Amino acid sequence: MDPETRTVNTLAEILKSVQGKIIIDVQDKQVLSVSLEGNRVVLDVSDASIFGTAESDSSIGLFDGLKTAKKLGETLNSKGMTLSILRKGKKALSLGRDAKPTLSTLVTRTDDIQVDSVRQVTKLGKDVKKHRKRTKKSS
Amino acid sequence: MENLRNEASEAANYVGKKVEESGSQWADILKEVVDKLTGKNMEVTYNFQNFEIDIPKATGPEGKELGSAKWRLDGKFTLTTQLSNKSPNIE
Repeated sequence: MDPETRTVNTLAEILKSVQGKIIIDVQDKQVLSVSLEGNRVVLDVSDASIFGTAESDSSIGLFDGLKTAKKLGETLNSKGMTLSILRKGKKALSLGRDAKPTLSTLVTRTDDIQVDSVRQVTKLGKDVKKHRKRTKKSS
Repeated sequence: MENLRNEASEAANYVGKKVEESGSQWADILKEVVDKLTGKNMEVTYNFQNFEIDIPKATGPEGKELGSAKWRLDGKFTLTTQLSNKSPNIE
């Protein structure tokens, strides 16, 4: 088992034993909330700047990680878990057990990722890019 | 109908391209988030709502049985970071 899979497996086991919700505010503004409901994890991104403000050249956005999302989706499925990613309360992407891909199977080449809303996924990607550009300009 | 199909196809292609984009591990995304949450001159508030952690039974040192537990967190805590100057001239 490769280290990445082992990490995701361990993380999945930990998440299964946790329930409840955490809301994270940065400078009095909500940026992220995580709801843990046993086999279901709901990640609501209110402010995508949280993914794109590090001053490193290797900084990446949410979309860049989607290739790895395929693997994450498969691991989550094998653990009977589902991760739902929301943008400002609206469903964007689901990974894992409850993902019911239709059209997205053609592009993600996996049954473990469901694009709930192309519009929201696109907006989320744009949000991240926008914040990264802003950060680069100001630095 | 044909237009709708084309639009859906274009949208699917767009997502597909993004999925195929190389590089990048989730650990890097996590790093971004941690960087943001531990940045300089920041105020980060964590609001826990009915947060429960199940601690499973475990075997401790010398085979001692450690019972299971349930930790419950409710409420918020705020973490504030401040950048302070450290000048070598000040004694």
